[in-house]
Amino acid sequence: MSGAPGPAAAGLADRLAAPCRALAAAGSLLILALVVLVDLDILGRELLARPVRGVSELLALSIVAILFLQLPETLRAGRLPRSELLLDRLRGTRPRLHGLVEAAVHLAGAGLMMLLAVVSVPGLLEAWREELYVGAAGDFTAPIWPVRAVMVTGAALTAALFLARAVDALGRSARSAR
Amino acid sequence: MHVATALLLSGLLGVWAIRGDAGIAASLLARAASDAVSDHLFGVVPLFVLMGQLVATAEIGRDCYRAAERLFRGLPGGLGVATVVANAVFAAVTGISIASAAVFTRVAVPEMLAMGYRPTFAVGVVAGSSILGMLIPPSLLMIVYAFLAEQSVRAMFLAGIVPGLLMALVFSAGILAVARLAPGLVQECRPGMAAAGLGALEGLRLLAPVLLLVLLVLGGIYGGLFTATEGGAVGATGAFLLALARRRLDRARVWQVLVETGQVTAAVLFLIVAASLYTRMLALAGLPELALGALRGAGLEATGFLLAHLAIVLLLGTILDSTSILLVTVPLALPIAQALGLDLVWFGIVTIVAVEIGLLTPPFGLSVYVVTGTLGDPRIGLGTVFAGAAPFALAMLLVLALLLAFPGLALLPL
Repeated sequence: MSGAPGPAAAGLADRLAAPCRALAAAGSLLILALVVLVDLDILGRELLARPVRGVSELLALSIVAILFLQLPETLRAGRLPRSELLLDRLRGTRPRLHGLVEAAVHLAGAGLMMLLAVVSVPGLLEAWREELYVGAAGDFTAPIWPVRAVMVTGAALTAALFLARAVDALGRSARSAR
Repeated sequence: MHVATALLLSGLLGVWAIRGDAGIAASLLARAASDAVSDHLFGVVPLFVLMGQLVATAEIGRDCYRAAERLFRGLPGGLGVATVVANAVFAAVTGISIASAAVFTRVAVPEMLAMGYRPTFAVGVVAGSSILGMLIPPSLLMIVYAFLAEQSVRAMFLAGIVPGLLMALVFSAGILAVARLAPGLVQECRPGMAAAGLGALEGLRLLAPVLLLVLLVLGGIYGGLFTATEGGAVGATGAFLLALARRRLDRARVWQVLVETGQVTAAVLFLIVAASLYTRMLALAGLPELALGALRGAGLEATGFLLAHLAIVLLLGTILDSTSILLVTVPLALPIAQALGLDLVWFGIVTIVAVEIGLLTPPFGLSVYVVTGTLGDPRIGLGTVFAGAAPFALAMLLVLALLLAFPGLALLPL
């Protein structure tokens, strides 16, 4: 995984640092919780013949949550893999064009993530209204809506970050034109 | 452009174009995001990544190197062989090549330079042998491929053992041969033995924890005691306890490990989501059938397809990172491989070896960048490391050819 670290100049994108970090922190804690959960399941199963109920359902839900909790900060930290061979070359020789291309790339990302956030809203409402759950009634159940809410939030924040990056890149491009 | 957004966009626009309905495309996007990774199997990703990060923190790499050094330091080129062997052992507890590259740059390169080894050789060995990290199970690439191909992670892990060991063997043999035939390429001068080697007991003591961890995790998975996901959790816990026992963890370090883990996990999972939409688009467009028809039309059967596929993978290796290459190529290549009757586990191993060659080739050889960056020595630039790693890329091509010629190497009858 590689990616250029963000530009040193303070920009719009930096103002989103705090919410990105907060979501990522929750995601990291969730990973830790998964380890503990799976360990407990193995120990309970092997030693006490009593597995923890619902581990595989919780794992399935958590993975989606982890993804969308971590996504904004991962983008911010420059850890989303990208192919930047061409862009790097432009950065040195044609800084203005580089800024424009960067802006376009990030705008595309913003549009995509915005769309994802919007089309995920009905799923969230449905899960909330109809109290959807995983597991089996009477044994183990976990509500689905929190994960759907995380999806919408994470996708929206990622979109906002992409957008802020696009604006910053446009600003850089304009500045280098002078 | 970010690889994941590129895949998502092409998937989205492709479905839109094929079905002529933006609504269907958008709902497929939503479905990919919520369903593609929503399975307990995907727990292996964060768990094994966490294990790898913790193992790196626990300085297990240094111990492996110390023990291997003791064994091989008497041989010409011995420290090179020691690096390869230590990497192979370390690879059995980590699934990421970058981790190996960073660890061994810090541990092995200064030592080799102090012993009069040529810088080109020293950094080349470290960059070259770092690819073992993802070839010897556990391996993040095998996990990703298993998801794409709907094969079991366990089967992939099993199939990786022999090719991984074979690779280490070829590397070691190559180093020994060069050290004997052209010693000037390896070592500029041979100062007397520096500090005395460790005793055998000391070596065993160094290796015991890591061997225990390997036995626990891989043994547990192979032996059917637990699933791959559970193996990841057990490994992460073991590595955590080990790092704790060595006083390598404070609160800040733990947090840093968790943050790193989260970011690698998100990057990989997001790519998988993107690939699932892209795969669906390809299937809707009927591209795999089209490509298959074209192949058959051109009179190319399995061999021709394999060579073309591997050539594309090698080519992409010069511009994309490993996970991205898998996600871009496998969705199209897999149905073809299946239709041609190729074994999909073997196909995965072959593809992964080809992908990993890309870690060493310019201009986007990630391992080389990591070694150069970690070293931070102005006298040793990217060019030097690429030059040093080149023989190892060639050795990998040789192993790739062997795997193609003798598929049995990757298919243990287990």
